[in-house]
Amino acid sequence: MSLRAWRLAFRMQRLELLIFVAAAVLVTVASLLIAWGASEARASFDACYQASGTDAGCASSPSLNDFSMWGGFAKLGAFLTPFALGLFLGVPVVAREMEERTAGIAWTLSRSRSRWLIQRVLPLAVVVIVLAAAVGIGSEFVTRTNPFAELDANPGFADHTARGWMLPVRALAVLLVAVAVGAMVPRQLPALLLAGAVTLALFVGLSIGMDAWMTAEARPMPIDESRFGLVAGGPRIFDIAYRDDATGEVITMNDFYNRYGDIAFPDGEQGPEGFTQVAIGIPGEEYATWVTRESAILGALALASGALALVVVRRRRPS
Amino acid sequence: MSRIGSWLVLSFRLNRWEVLASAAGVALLAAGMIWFTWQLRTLAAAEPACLDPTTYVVACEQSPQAFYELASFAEGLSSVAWVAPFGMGLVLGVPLVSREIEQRTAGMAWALSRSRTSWLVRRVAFAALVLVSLLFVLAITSEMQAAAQMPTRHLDQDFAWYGRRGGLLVVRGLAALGVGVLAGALVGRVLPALLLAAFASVLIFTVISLGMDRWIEADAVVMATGDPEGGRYLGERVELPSGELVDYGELGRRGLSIEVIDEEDRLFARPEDVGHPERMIGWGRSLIVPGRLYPQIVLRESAVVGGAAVLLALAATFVVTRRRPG
Repeated sequence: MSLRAWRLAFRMQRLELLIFVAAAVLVTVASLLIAWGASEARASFDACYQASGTDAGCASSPSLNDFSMWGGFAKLGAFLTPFALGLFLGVPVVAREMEERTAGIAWTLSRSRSRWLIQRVLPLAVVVIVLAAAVGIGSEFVTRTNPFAELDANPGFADHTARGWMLPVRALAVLLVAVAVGAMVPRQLPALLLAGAVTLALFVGLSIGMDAWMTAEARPMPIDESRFGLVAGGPRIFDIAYRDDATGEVITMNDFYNRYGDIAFPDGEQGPEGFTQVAIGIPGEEYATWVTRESAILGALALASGALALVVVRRRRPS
Repeated sequence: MSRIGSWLVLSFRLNRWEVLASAAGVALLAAGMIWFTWQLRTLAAAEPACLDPTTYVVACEQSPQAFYELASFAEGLSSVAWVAPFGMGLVLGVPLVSREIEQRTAGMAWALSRSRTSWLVRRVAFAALVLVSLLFVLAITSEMQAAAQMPTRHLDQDFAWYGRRGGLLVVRGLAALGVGVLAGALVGRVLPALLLAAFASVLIFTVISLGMDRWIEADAVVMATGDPEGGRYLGERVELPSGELVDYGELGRRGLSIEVIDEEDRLFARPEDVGHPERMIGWGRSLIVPGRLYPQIVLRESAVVGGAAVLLALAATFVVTRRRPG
């Protein structure tokens, strides 16, 4: 691809790009500042707590609650980033040319329609990946410095839809879905609404499918009630169960209650004698494996959408 | 065809995709709400005594389960009803001017019209008519669903689901329409204008919401902490022995921090201070706007949001009369 083709691709969507670059820079810088502030506040709080043995008089200003709240906003922004980037940059690639009736000229001037489409989409794909990755890195820091968790070494599945390299992968998949929908519906706003609905359906389906897959492979994990939750290391927990210490059989809480009733809980609080409470889930160490699997599915979706967009552009009338 | 008829047909043709998408969305949402209303009323009618949270009936240990499970799904729809006015307002408002500019038909449309202002009024009036009609349906169905979900409460004097039911949906939609039209007129391209309008809406409505909270603080009463049924919760406060009411941020700035709260909501800095009232920091309190003020507060917010809609419409008119058509 020539430099001219890259410049042209950027000029065609300069307004959207300008808004997104500004928004991505804002979200990333805000995330880094929140992470830094949270980390400082937490360090000062922990030092005070260790010195006095109590959290009385250890209030930091702004408080850990404030950082947690701001971190929540940053993570919400990061979660939405791939969808906003993909939809708003992907839909107009073909739909705008057709709506403005310039597709005929553009396609005639290019050596082939496929080449034209690739030249339009490739620079956008690079921008989308770079911006989503920047936001993903910022959000990764926010998760790792969560003031109410110990996630700095291994965040595992914590906030896994709003941080790290899932963001660029998702953004790329949404971009190509949006390009395909924009090629089929020759008006930008209806195409955007349809692409939004299609994306929602695809991601809800993917989320349900991944949860079912993970549930099928989930296994019992010992519970070590730490300061910040049941199991350390950011696992994905689907259920709580009891393991029979004698036989090793794992019984879900519902099944346990149905089998033994209230008698098993004499004081209503403690676990039953002879059983150990366990969490059923996927350990945080397997995060990379599962993200790779989800990325592979999204990659296949992106390829299929890209191929569909190519077929539609090659076959359709330019108006 | 009459003038009104031709105006309706032309306006619909220009925006048919957005109108159809909005109508389809509202039809789906309203149908879902009516279905949930019917199901919830059927369940409530079967055992009405079981749904009153203020009384305990021994036979009711299992039966409300189905009701509350269904109600939690229904609550999802009410969240969509909360977002709908913003989404529909922007989708209908943004393309009114921006699409004409983007497709380079604005010059012709403006030249053929008596004035740019009358052209804009005709376009906006149609979008507003569609929006108000659709949101009116949503306002009614969301009220019906809320009443079915909370059968023991008097929702005309209750802040439950504030902004997710009733007339506020319509007024917020009109303001979002104004944001959309203005952004479209300023930017002149559909998708960038939609993006900008979405960001602007978040900003404007956050400011209005925070402003309203500050305004209604004057009407709030200080109550013991707990669930203020029907009231609007504005936050936690600490009532100092001097009678002064401060928030937790101010408490921190004064170097005070709370370690223990006793059963009478008295706040202490250290466990050993409990039992020594003279060492108490203060009492934990909630700032609540009473439910009986609900109609008054809705009216106030409607006036503010409606005023914002008028200002936005005026600003859009100003931009359209001044800007170049391409």
